[in-house]
Amino acid sequence: MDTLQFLKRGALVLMSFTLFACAHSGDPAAESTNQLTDANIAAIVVGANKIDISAGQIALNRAADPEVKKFAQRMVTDHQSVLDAAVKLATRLNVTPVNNDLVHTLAKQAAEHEAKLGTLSGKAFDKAYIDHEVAYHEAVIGVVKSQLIPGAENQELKDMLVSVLPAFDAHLAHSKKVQSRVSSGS
Amino acid sequence: MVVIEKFKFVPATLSLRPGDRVRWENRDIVPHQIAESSLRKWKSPDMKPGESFLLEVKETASYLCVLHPTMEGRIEVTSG
Repeated sequence: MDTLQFLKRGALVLMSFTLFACAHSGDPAAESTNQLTDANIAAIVVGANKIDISAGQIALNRAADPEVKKFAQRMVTDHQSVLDAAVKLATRLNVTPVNNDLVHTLAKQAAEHEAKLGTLSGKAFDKAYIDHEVAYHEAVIGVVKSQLIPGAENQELKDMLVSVLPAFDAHLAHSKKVQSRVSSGS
Repeated sequence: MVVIEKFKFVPATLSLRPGDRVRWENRDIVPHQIAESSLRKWKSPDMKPGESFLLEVKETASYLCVLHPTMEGRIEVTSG
């Protein structure tokens, strides 16, 4: 799979998976309501944050451009904060995260992405990392808005998801800024 | 006071007189660090969630979050 195909798949996997799950659930209401439980949502939030922390830690060691490294440090710090808040809330609500196929798919894709990053260095690494960060944040924002927030039953979990969206929006804008710098070679 | 929440400065623009003091309070769940946009005149330390930063303003300035540079604000200082 070439880089472009990989990024397209990464950007679409979250959305397509959940839509597929709804369409094949056998429930006539599935296309307009969410099939995820709060335990599934907690697992997705935990998994998605861990994936970006892990990728950021790799970039801290391997990135060449100082702005890419700064961005990576921000991802590690911010997503750890979100992860800590999510775990704290889940613990307080007595919600034990339950992995579903989406979490497993995310983990598999993350492993493939990290393996690819491990083969790259210099500008090629910077481009692969930041391109993926743009696609990943676009995908995550889409799923949080369309699936996780509408699907959350517990109001505090719903509020937490709403409260972290601005962070992801800011990360997306930041990643695009760094992507522009990396693409222009400045 | 300027509240930092949802990755925005609220209010985004604040009008003050020379010598006024302004406090930024971080109500997000992640750290922020604010600085005058050129990064040469003034800068806060890292502000963890719940922490604040106090500044005596002398002149009009645009500022940003150093950690999240898409976050921007402005203080306008007028003597009139």
